[in-house]
Amino acid sequence: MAAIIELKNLMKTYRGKQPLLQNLNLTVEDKDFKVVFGLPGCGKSVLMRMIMGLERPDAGEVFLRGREVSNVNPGEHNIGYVPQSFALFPHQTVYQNIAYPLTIQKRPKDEIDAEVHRVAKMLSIEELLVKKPEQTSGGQKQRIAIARGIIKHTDLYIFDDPFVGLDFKLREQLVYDLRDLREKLDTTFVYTTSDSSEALQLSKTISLLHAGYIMETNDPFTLYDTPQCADSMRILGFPNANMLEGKIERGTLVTDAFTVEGIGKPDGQVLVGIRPEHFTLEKAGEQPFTFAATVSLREDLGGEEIVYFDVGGLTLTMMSWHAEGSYEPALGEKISVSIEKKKLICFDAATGLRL
Amino acid sequence: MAEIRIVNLLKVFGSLHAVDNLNYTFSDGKVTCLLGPSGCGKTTLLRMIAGLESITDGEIYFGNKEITNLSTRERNIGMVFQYPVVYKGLTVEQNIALPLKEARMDKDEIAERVNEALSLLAIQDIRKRDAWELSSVLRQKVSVAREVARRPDIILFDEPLTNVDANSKTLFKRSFKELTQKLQQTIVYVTHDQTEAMTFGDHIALMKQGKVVQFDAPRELYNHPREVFGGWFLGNPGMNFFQPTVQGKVGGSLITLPLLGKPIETEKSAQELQGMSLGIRPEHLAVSKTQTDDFSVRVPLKQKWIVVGGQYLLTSQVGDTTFRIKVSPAVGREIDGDFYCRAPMEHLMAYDHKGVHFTL
Repeated sequence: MAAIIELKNLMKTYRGKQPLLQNLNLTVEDKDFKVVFGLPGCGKSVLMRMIMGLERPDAGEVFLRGREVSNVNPGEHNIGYVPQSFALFPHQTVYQNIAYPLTIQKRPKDEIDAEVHRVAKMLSIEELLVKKPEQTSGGQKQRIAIARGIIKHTDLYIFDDPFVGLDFKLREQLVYDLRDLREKLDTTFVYTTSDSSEALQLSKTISLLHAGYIMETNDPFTLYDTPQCADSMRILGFPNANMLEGKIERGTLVTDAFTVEGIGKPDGQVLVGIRPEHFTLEKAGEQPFTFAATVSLREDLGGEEIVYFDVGGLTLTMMSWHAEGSYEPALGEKISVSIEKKKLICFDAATGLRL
Repeated sequence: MAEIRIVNLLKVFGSLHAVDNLNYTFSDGKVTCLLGPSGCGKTTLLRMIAGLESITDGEIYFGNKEITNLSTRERNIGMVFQYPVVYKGLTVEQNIALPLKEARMDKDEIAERVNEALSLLAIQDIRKRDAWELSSVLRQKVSVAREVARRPDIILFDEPLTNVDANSKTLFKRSFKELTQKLQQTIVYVTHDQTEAMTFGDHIALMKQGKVVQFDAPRELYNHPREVFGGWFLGNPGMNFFQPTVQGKVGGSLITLPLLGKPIETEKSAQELQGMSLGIRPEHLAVSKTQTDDFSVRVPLKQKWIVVGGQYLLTSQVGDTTFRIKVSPAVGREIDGDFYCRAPMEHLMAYDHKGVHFTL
């Protein structure tokens, strides 16, 4: 597969601030659904604007379709774009709003008409075309913005965190829609988000932007199961992974929450990552160890619960599934928590790299 | 402390019935969550209870006392809003003491109540801090503490987590839960977030278009939604719905659906069952990688991805119906192509053509 985007050694520092992007390298393959995932403020939007040609890096190169584009007019980058804060023109109809990218290209009327109906149908908003934006709901506005972003026929579309601030049920539906949409169009989507669930649900590949560079890139399953960096594990996953500071001495791992012997890793300061689903209230299978804790909150998601428990001055989380006869401890109740040793993921405390 | 009783409560804005003739009792000492999408009338209802919104018709009682025509001030309620209310230039304890001073309460009494409120919210260590300087979550805790210290009959919460930053929400939730367990206060809590409602509520009033669709304990609401709307709205993702084939026969009908395995026999006529659907939650569908006696229906794997707690969400299809299955990480990893699926009878909910639950 060919690369449609290649970013090489991008640097960006805003005056008086810490560097935002430092030697950032990123390759997006043709027909990928690439999610650039990172915490709010990590530089995702700036990065997208650089690909669009709306912002210049201090140094480094942006290649689109194999060609360096620093001297190319942004209008010729030929990218469909849904920015984070999309503004619909209030005095124009939904139809006119969606048609806008083609109108400014002065395309023939009947072509525009066919295109508007094509994308409106794709996003199930045909009945809205005659309305004004103010007559539509939040979710409908989002779909209108997406329709406007994809009306242009091209091989690359960028969505900059388009669902932020929308309520939960709407996001659920839009996530399904967007995945289907990429398959229908069979092109490349680049999507940014700070929401773990969105990243895991939408992506073919995730690139994790943290501390100014792409820390790790992989398919969502591999990245979730075997993160190579402590920060990747910390920020990707819902609920967040438990990250504990610890020390290995003569093969024994000591943390504020528990001590476990025979860890089979070299001595030194470590960060231990534990996914909430790997703690159990019952005895686990192979090589489990158990420690005592106190339940401090149970957050009910419907089909499952997040159980918060206190141990050694820390609050950790575990998952609990609602099943017939499952054990449901009360708040303040003392519990025994088990985990298999092999589920503990150790990172070097200094480098953050997996041991 | 008092229960809240609303009788034929109505609020009309133009042609819109924002709160549509409701009759409910919110129990004394319990947390009732008003849950629903935006525009369902939950905030309007809360504001009517608070006396901040005029009522078109109906009555409101706190205990045996009718308060329909009393002003907000006369109702003896506490309120916590989306934006934390703290007074600039005052410390945390001064903030909490302010309404008590205004009520000309005895000094010792004020001190006692402030101490109690600080302790209930676990914010003793910040009592001398300027409340304005605090983080969003701590400011919201101070707002709650001030209402608690007044010891009102009822405390109303209007989406208090909206403006608390995401990483601190848990701190507030924990505090709120501890508080309600200790205080046994009558609370009405408005939210559009099902997790908050399920976590906090002794009861949930699920609302849609001015009506309460269902008023139940959280688990009951989740497990047995009385309408299709509740099945869809609660859960992540919501319930799957299937349109089965209904065949009339002597003395009743046969309901068939590929995922059922064997058909359901019922005494209801095919006429009555017209347009019915069967709902099942994604985590209640059973899957197997291999064919067995129990698993005879082969379905395609269209998509899979990781969801909450490392579970896998599988997307599949029978006929024209796309459906989703939530499975454990171990099962999810294993399934990478066609698989076998079954809808266990005990988890199926039947709905009529209007989307209302009925017993088969």
